[in-house]
Amino acid sequence: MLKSEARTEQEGISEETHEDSVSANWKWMGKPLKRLEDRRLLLGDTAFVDDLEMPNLLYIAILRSPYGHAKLLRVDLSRALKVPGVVAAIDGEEAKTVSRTIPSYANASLKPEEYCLATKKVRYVGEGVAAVVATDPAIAQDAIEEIDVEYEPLPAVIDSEEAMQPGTTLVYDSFGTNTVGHSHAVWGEVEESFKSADQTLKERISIQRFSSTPLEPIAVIAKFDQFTNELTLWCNAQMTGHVMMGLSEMLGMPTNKIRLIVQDIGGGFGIKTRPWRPLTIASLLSMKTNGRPVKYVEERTEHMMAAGMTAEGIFDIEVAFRNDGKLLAFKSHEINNDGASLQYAGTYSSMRATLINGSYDIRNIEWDSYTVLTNECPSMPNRGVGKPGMVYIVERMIEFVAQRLGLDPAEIRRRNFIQPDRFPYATPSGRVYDSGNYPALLEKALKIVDYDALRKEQAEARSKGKYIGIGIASYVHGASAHSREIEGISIKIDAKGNIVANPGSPDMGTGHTTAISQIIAEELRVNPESITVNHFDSNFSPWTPYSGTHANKFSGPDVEVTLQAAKKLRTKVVAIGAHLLGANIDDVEIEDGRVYVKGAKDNFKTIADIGRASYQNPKLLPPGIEPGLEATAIGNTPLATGAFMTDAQYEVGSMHQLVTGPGSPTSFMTYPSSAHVAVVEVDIDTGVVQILNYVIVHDCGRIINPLIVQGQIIGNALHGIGVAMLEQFVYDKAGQLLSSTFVDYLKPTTCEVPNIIDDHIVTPSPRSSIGIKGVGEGESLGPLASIANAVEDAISPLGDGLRIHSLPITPEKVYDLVRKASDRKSA
Amino acid sequence: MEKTMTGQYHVRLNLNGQSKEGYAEPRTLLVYFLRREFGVKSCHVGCDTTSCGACTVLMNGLPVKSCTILAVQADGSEIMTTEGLAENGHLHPLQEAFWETHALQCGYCTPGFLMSSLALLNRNPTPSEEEIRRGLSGNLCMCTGYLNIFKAVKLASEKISGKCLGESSTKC
Repeated sequence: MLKSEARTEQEGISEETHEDSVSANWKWMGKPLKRLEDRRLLLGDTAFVDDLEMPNLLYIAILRSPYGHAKLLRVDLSRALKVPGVVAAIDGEEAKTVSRTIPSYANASLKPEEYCLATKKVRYVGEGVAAVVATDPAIAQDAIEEIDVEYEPLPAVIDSEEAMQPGTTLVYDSFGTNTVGHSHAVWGEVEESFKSADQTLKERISIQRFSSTPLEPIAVIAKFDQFTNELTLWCNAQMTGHVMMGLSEMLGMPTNKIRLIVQDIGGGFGIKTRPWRPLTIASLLSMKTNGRPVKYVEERTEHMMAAGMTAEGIFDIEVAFRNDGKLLAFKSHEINNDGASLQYAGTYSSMRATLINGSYDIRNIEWDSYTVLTNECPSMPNRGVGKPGMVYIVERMIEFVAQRLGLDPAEIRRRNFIQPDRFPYATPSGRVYDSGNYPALLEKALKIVDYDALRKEQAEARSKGKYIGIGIASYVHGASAHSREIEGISIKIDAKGNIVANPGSPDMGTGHTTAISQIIAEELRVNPESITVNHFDSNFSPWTPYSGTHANKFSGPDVEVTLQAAKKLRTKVVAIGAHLLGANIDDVEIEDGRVYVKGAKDNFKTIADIGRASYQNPKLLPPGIEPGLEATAIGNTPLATGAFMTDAQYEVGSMHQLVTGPGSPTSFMTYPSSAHVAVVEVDIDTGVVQILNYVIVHDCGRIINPLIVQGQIIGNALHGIGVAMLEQFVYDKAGQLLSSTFVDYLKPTTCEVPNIIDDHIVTPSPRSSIGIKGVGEGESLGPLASIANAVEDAISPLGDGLRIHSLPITPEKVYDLVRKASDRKSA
Repeated sequence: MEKTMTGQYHVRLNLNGQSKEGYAEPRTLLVYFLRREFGVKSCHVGCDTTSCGACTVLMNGLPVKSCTILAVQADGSEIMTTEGLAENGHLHPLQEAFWETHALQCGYCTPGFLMSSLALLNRNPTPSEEEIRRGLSGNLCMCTGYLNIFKAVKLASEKISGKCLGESSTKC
């Protein structure tokens, strides 16, 4: 069908949830519970960083480079310091004397000269040059206008291929090159496969720089207590543990003198993982103002220029295949533009390699990837990091082969899928997929769109001059970036029987507060609404270096440790309850907040009774049971496979070794999967593409809260649709950013979001103790390819080889393709 | 409006039914005036270019982006923010509907959507999906993908017109 009726979420979510005996027995998990955190958010009673006020608060403004590349000859703060209301100011040269370089994960052999503010050179538009702190935000803004800076503009290097040429402008002179990373791996028998193949093809495609642009920009308040030497930070950072570890390094402070508090986060999507620069600047300025609290809230333009974005990728792909559509081998030669920092350079590239064969049984792959620096904004992790690019490569490549062979795009996928009986499936690059049923996913999606009828409608429409296209993406993603990430949580039942949880990772709108409550409620047999889940506070939350909300990891270590801690408490509660009842442990049950004697529901002790005994009257406790009802769990599941990261792998920049090295720990814990079908109409007179229908069938294993999962699916899919059709950071040759606001960097609005139908299948993950998989990243990956495939399918009657080479698919690009085809015909 | 010696103006307005007054520089934007003078946390700044609508409030009944109105322009006006929606601890039907349909995730854009939705329902109590899309096109949400917001506004419309009674029913 061209357009399906939108189905209610009840229809969308109910089908498979109760199919297996495990989830059928769940009382609180698996239910579409309304989110517990919403009431406060709906009342506007929020604790976003900018909502927080405190006495003597000062406000920071940052002067940012207007140049893409320039020598910093002189920074003079004296006039700014004279502005009434200004309390202090700092520039890069001073920051360098009191803080260390920004941690880098890219290349251990290169020593970055990068501090929280620029020194000697500015390397991208928006790089911080100096910061002022004043009694009022407007005064701080006024004051940065009074900073005298002398720049000597240098030629900027923007094009990543140009950046690789010898003799080009260098982003970091001391590196002697802009090519800061190169990984090359050959898996299987690539050259032999190319020689023996029936056919081969070659294509260049690229993926632009974009960002999921959380609506709340990065914000931080720092308060340094000069008597205790303690630094307190309120920040909307996602990676709590990394921030604690990294900031301790950058500021030379012990971690037990840093207190990080993460309250409400207005969306993160990876861009807020580790905001080193604002965190450090605010910390230094609080120290400089005798410990006054200082607040920094990024403006939107600052966020777009400097908070971070994805890496650009240029992919030369070659495929070898048989005439029946079986893919034999491919080569991917990649150039990644990671902007002007080593901080995350190589992350996009390495992440792609982890999923290099997608959902297809392709054993022979050559991967050759260059990581290049340019005078653009540094790359940051963004929803899925390298995964959108990887899915894009594989799902476009298989489409090109189908086009060449005249094969139906669904049929070619069927012929190449890893079959459901092959799990656990070891990929050529050394990962092991846990579970999945890729053919079932696709067939379900095709059934929802009524694929055969849709192809007929498409043919009819064409005969009437309407250009309809159908595009598929059918792929694997990964959850929990390393198979053995470690997270922590502590759960406490107090003397009144009330339950409070302190997780090591923050909730950033992702529903974790509710999901954690559901898990605890399931184990302790209480109503989830009675449970309090606290915000992150490093003084109280058990954190590890991995702690945080990132990499789709909630489904992994976060859920596992919540289960473990809750089970520990349950055991203790039951033991104490039985003892108080004078019964054997085996003769009691726990339900509805009570421990009772089996078969005698009115013979019970409440959790409050048990709490009171635990804290007030230890004599009542059974022998060997300590007072108190607290459990902390730190770890992951024993079911996870792969190696733990070594300190060396974790601490230093060795992204590339992680991908190709022996015993690589960068296997994902679970491998969720999806099938997307896009139905589009192309107006060949204007090049405008309209999405008529968008169908998603996903497999994230069992589901803790279907309402939240569905919210993730739809919201996430729109991110991908925005990247496919609208979003792009554009730099001119001088390194000027041309799309630094939502006026020129286009996000999908209420008018662009298409009808999206979602459904799912369930293949429980054997690596999760409750059979779940990650859900936060997957759906943003598919639309890049599904929509490109659909647009090419729509205009295919106009001529052969009309190909979308780059994203976003703007009307201009489509119009140019259509015109090229008509020019060719008339010639 | 009186001007003080320091160049500030005395701005009086009605905020969620209460008379308020404060001092604002001529350049102060309404959103910052509301946030800093009166502790109105619900209007958020998301873009600085009138694109995202996270700062939407009702000014004399009309939705305005409070980042694009000067505080002095609001002198003498009636301002309604999300803080004014709930009555006696009872959520407004719009807030209930957003909750029931999972129409919010991080909650940063939500107050703006609530105010734009309220203005839409005030002028069109039974909007079609197309009308909801157009009515909310000045608000950006990065989390939800909007579809649940459309459902929420529809549900709120039904709740307000009395078709739907009871908070727990998501099917009406």
